Amino acid sequence: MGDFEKELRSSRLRLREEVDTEKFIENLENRIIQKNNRQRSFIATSILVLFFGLISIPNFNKVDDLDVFYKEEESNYFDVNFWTIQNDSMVMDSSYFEEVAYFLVEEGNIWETIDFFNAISLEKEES
Amino acid sequence: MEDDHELIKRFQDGDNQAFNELVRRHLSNTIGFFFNITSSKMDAEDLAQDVFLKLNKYLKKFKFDSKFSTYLYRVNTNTANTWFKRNKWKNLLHLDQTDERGERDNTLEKSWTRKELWNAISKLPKKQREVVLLRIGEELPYKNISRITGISIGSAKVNFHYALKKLKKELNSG
Repeated sequence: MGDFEKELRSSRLRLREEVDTEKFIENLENRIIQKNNRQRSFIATSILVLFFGLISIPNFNKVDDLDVFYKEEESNYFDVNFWTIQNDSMVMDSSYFEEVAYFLVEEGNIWETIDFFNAISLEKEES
Repeated sequence: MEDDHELIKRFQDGDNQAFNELVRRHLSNTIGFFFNITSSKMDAEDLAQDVFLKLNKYLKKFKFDSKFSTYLYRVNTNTANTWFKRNKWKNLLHLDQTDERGERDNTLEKSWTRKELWNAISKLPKKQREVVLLRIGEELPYKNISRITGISIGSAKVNFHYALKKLKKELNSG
């Protein structure tokens, strides 16, 4: 053994004070219990998350449908001005047909316009 | 008196008192191992708690292919390595504060302090550091160091030789 190795060994630090073994074991037991509890709650949480995840997978599309439904509902409520609404405007008169016809012509849907007029004349005949 | 393997067997069969007996037997050595590194009784006790917490888990799968003391040293050196990694900057600040309750083997005059020594040891490559910890700190023979670290006796000697060379250079240059 060289001098340097002796020097290193002589610098070792030894604990003079006694260690309270029973207190150490008590602390250790508490830590083991805490660790086991944490592990158990982690496993329980993981199982719950997995369970709810599996349950919710078949309902993913349904949730989307509901979303659309509510959006439509919302737009109906907010777009209609209930204070100025007139019953007359709900009745389809000749101005309504004219506006639809102009719209179709402007969009370049000539045949659709002719079909539209045919449908109106048929309805009139039936009524 | 039951040997360590018998206690481990009893622990594996569900007897927690057997584990506590194992702790009683090896506690002072384990704390001593970490006290030499940390210079703090509190830190040494915390690290010893970590070691026995790990043992409480891993001993349930212990295969009895080595001595328990060898296994314990392996866990100690791994825990010490983790501590070195975590506390690199702390070591620079605190290791010169020798614990009042500690006692140094101060038989030789040295040109360096414990702080400088442990800073230098913490800079060594992992295997060299492990060999130094066991050879200098625990005065273990190369045969045991080889079993604990999982390297050959020759490799342990070579690692120790290079570690001493580096430490000497580092400490004398400082």
